[in-house]
Amino acid sequence: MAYRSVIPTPPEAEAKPAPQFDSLRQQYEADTLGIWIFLASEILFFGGVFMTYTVYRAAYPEAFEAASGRLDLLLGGINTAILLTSSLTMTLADDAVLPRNRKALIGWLAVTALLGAVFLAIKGVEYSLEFGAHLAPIFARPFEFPEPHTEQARLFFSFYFALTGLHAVHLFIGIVVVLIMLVLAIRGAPRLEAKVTIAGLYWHLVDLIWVFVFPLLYLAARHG
Amino acid sequence: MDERTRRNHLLVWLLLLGLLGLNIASSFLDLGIFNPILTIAVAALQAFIIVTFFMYMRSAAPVPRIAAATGFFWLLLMIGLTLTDYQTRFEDIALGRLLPEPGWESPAVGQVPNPLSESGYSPAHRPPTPDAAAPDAASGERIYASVCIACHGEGLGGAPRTGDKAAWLKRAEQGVDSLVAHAVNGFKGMPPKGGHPELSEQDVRNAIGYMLYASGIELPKR
Repeated sequence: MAYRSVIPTPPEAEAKPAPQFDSLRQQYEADTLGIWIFLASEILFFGGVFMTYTVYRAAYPEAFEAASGRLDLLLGGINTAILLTSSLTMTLADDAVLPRNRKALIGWLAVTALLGAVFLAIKGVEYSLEFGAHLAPIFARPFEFPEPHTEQARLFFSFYFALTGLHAVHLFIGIVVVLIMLVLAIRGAPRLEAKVTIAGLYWHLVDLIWVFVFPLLYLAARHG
Repeated sequence: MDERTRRNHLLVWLLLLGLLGLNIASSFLDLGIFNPILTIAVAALQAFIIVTFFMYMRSAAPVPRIAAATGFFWLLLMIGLTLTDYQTRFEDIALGRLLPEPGWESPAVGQVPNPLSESGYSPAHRPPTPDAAAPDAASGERIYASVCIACHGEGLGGAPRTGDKAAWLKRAEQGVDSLVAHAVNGFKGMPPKGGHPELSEQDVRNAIGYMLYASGIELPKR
């Protein structure tokens, strides 16, 4: 079966591999392998929290449904669409590297970082709403939820803040990485293809994790 | 990149948004058990699309492919085995009892001493059923007050009255396990589980532990 390196590889004449590699293609395959091993460990890291959440949701289905209904479905849905769109713009930035389309690269990287920042801003609005509604069982804040599900709802919101908080930290790191790529592109640094593709793989993984966070937390309730 | 690649990426993005819409719409329908199954299936499909197209797994070399597949394989193994275990073994989670039941109040420290402990009962550090074999007098008191008291309160039908140390001592000499077996299966005037089949063996054991304690009998320490 025919395959190419995940990282778009320029002709050998344009760029030489690092000394320990036979070819640029081999070097880029090693790069891809490295980031995927890291991403696999991230999948298991979040997977552990997903699994624990599922165990407790199976134990308290009604309480988790009631607690999930208190989340803001509209803001959560908008945020999911924003993150999916940011994955598209990240891919478009990656597409622009090898054709040396510097303007497109800079533009799409900037849009990607901006969409990530908008996501975090909306998440901040959601957090402030939940803090105001006394639904945040963190930082010794008051927690209020009608009986008989108070304790179980506290558990749900602990999962909510742990999962979305961990995800927000990952997204913040992703924004910083994309901004570094942006600076490199503006300065006209050579050989960006591997860096941008690998930054993109991390960005897409953060998106992929949210694709599961959203239905697990926001869609646990029946909204009809 | 050529125009076709760009168009493909746009189509992938539209597909992802469409699946998001489908997922949100499904939460407005009552599909019973299929609600969570559908939402997770749609999320898995979105994840597959992201990995295949945006993360280029479609055209990746074999070794990175194996690395990625390994991550998902371990994830499935972890979730599959853990859920199998929790859904089949852990009685308390199947009964929804990981947290204290609504209305359960921990007794004040010292109010209900644990008959098995010299240092006294410290409910703050104990879940409702700490040890599968040891009677827990605190949760036994609730069961006693709602079930056992009917006969053992006044000593009806030959039942040993709670507080009658001599009557209980005679029975306690047979060992707590024998008392539990009699109470669970029925013995003479004692109906099985006091006529409440929803009680677990541990519940019965806890109630017996409470009645022994309330009759002034110290159980030997294990």
